[in-house]
Amino acid sequence: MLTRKTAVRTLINESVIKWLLTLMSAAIIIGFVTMGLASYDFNLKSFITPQGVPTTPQLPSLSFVELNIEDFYQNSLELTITLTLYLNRDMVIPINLIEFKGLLYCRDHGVTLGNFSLQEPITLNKKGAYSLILIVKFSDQGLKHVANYHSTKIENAYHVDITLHVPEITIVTMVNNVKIKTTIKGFTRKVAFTLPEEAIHDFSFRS
Amino acid sequence: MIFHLDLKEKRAISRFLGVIAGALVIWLAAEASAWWSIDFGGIISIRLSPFDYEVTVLNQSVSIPLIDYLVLAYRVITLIAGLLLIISTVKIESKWSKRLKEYGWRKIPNCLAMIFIVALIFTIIISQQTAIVKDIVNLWFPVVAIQSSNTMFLSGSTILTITLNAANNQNTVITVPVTATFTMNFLLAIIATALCIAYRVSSALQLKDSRKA
Repeated sequence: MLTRKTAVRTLINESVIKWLLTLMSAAIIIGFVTMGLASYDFNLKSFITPQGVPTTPQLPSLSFVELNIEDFYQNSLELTITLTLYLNRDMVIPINLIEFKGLLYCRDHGVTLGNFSLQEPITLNKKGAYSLILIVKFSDQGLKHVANYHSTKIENAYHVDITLHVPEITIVTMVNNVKIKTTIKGFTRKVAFTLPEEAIHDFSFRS
Repeated sequence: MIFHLDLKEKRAISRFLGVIAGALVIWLAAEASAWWSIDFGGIISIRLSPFDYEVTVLNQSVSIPLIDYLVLAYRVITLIAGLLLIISTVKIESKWSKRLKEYGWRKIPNCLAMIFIVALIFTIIISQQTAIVKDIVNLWFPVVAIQSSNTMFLSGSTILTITLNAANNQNTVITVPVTATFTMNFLLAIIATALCIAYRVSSALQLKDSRKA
């Protein structure tokens, strides 16, 4: 007859412990998985489907609703214009608009008038309207062209009437550390504005 | 040096190694913070450890419930393994101690190998097999090409240049800086692995000596 001590020794031999440990591991895994499945009402599909995956990210659509000519700086031949753009939805991560640039042409004569760029970066996050201040830098040749072909003298000023052509616009945005550079098709638009007499005066005589 | 020590001293060394290894295994499983992480320009980030994982896409946490429960189960198993490693030091020569040791010592080295392989596969895919990345990105955006600036191996950085399909007269190029890093916990896991192996070897030597004696 086996003594109690011998019986315990027999039980706790190598293979029994090995099997107990293996069973314990299996029981823990099966237990947790069953517990998880139960918390999903034993719906296997939702249990193995990734949760919280964002839907196809849609780039915001921007629409220009307003164009205002703010000021003209004669010394640097700069024109400040404000565009109002509209962000159609809230962004999960803010978008920093760091570049918005392009070249400006006279559509009728094909002459390069200058270029435009963003005055300072803006952050787009909430749905709504944003003012985008652009600096239009006229080239010497561009301003001469405006003076000679598209301006009419009015009282102490010049009325400019021109059809601008922007072949493409380069937009650079940063979303966290990701840089997105987009080149979009530009536009052709007839614009009319008034420039102070001093702005054009010098150039009209140089030509 | 260990060969010139007497049996009692060898036993003490084995016990010490076992207790430290077990404690480190328990600590690694309890803490469960990332061992390796990869970040895609702050838009997508993946932080991996054998006991937890964290995937963030556009500031949104992504998870698979099955994997959540599996890693939790593995975490509990490893905590028990660490505890059994410590218990096995009580009577190193016994047969049950040998079994506990066998069960416990492999857990962290296995985890280490697993994270190492995952990191290797990830970095190779991202920096060399960009066609696979292209297929994934294509789920969201129509991609023309993806280029990686340099080769990443387990950790490091590269820049992915993604050219999107020109649509509506619009050309888009996305530049994504990718950074992969091992964390301090990975270093601790290497130390734990070394201790586990050392404990196993020293206890085996000590067992051999005690049998001779």
